[in-house]
Amino acid sequence: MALHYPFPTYFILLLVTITRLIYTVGKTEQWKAPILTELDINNISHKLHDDPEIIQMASRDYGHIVHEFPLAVFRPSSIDDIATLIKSSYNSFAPFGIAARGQGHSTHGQAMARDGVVVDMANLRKQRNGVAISVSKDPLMGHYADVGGEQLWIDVLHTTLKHGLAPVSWTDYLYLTVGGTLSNAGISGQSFRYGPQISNVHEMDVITGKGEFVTCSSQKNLELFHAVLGGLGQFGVIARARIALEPAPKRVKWVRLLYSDFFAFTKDQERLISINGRKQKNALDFLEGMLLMNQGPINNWRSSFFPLSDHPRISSLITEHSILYCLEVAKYYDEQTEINVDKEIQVLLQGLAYIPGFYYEKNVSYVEFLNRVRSGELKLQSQGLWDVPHPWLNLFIPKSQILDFNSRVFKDIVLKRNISSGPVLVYPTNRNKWDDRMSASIPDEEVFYTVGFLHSSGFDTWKAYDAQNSEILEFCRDAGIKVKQYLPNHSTQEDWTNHFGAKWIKFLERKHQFDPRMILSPGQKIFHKQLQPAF
Amino acid sequence: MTMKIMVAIKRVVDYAVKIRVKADKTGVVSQNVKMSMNPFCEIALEEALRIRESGLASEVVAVTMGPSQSLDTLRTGLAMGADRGIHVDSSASLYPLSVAKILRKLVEIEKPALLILGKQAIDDDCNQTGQMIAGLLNWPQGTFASKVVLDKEKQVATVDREVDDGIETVCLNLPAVITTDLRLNQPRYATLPNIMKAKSKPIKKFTPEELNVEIKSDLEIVQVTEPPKRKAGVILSSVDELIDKLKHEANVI
Repeated sequence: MALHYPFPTYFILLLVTITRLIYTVGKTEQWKAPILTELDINNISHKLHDDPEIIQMASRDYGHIVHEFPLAVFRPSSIDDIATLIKSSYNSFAPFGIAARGQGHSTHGQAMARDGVVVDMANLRKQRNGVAISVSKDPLMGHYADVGGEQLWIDVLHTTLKHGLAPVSWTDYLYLTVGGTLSNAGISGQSFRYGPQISNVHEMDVITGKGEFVTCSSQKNLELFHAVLGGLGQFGVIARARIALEPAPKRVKWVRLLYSDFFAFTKDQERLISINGRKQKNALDFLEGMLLMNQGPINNWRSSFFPLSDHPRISSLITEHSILYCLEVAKYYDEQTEINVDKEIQVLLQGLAYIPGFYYEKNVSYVEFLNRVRSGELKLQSQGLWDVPHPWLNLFIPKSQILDFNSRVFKDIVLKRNISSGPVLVYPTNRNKWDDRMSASIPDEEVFYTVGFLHSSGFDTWKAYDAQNSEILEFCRDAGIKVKQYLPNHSTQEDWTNHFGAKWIKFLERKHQFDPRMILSPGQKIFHKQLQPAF
Repeated sequence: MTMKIMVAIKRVVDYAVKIRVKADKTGVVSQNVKMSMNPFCEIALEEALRIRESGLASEVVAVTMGPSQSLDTLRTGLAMGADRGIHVDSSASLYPLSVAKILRKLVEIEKPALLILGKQAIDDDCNQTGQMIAGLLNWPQGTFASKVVLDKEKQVATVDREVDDGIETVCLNLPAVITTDLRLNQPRYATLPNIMKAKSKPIKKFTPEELNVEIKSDLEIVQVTEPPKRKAGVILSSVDELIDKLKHEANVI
């Protein structure tokens, strides 16, 4: 027979039991620390430096316009150190901004971290001297190099050449880090055929904004892979990149042609880049263009190409036309193909509408050609003209709008202001060589032009160039010219939203996924939210 | 008169770590285990910092004892905001009485008006050092503090103590010893700016010999065992069944 107790007894017993459970739960909760933990400072503090000279180095960049002071510079000995640093910030009650600084070759403070930590990747490069670039072969992939993100492209070139190999896509200037150029796009005259550097990466190791070490490729962790390439450092620090390699040529036939008519100049460029198959023997290997104007010397810091004896002739031509347009092309060759290269160039250049008598040719080694900017850099450094303000403006302009840009910007704004003091690049590239899944933002047309105003100025005169840059951008906005900035420098959220266009939502999603506390690359000023505690 | 506060902080196995007893039962595994500042010591340091920030103290000195790894814990204290550190370097096992004797020597050197310690360390739960140092110094003590109010003019500290009967309020003449309980405050986190400042704060080193303290083992740990593993719970279907089990199996009613 079941035992029955009066209701009050049931109730009292149940109440006692429940009360005890509540008391236990409460007691347990009191001992739970917040989810966020204290900064694990002891692992990293001895690698954090705040000596004035070190802080000063990290508070400026190549642009010499923006200055922002970090609290500390972090000198990692390993990739794990960087992961520990980022994890410390991510798990911290008060996260701090972190910027990986390679060569500091940004122009508007993009690699800075105000009141945060700048990671000195040059220090990591010294620690890993000689071990962070390795060449391998894969049956499916072909030859490739595994390269630390802190490594310089000039060192990638020298190391891979020892194996008779080289990457196919370059920047004009090679003393830049692999991680730095892949965070933007990595473009030069090879891009029309081989795509930007970001199109020549098989795989990467990335340390995300959560301090997680992730290997990604277009097959594995592909969201992170596409986010990071062209991602402006917003999603992770590139620890390693697997770069596609091809057999390296030995020699380069390097040609420059002068035009006085912009229409002819651009039509010829567009015809030349329409031959762009990676395996097409009759395609050029390099194509760029630039303006020649009265304000500067015929030869500039990017190369000393024109023979001195011809400078007077070229100068008088510039005087006559105000602006000349210089087409620069190159075709690679070696002993086996030397016999054909002259003819191939002739065929390609046949029918081009350059000014008769203004054809210039050089034959140089592959290394000399790729490293062509270096001699100019060294010269400027010796003259004290390298470490000066660089109020650059780099634009991508749709093909259909390049003529408007020329007539209004080059022939009007630039000529009138009469302040140019550096190269102005103008050359087209093919959209189908880029991967639209990547973060990099480019115009919608199949062919678009890279226009680069690569000014140098005095420390008290850069504002005039900034004003010209602003006028150019304002004109483009008013005229409906759909430019995208390369090495973008925007100051409002609206500008960034417009910059990424249809990609903005995806960019935002990836930021929340890979750097939810907005720790990485604060100097880009894309996400203006102040770093706040989570509770 | 400027007032100095001395805070004792201890390096212990982090509270989130799952403890394992050594195979020889002489203690718990502490090699390759995450170590942190004892939580009650964090509360002690936090209280000292708040007193300084209120303007009632001019300096906070953090003290730790142990091998060189204890410096990590001291640096955490400096990063939280202590003004300087003292490290007593000793690889010997330090039991409460030895710690108290060392603290007495440091108090004689530093002459703080207030000595604040966590009420106990979570690694051994001894809860003895504060009481011992108060006895050695012949200072008044307020243990298990959940509230501290300082009156600089009268040179007294009023301490609310958590005792089984409720809250007991005591008034201590300075100098005094206070041990901290859980509800006294919520410790701050070290921020990056403070971490950078901490790197240049001075840390003075002593050895027990220099302080003329003999580390003597008058207490022996005979054995450490793990608590018995809890049996799995049972889901009961009715209050009747609960009452039956309480009556016949647990014998509590």
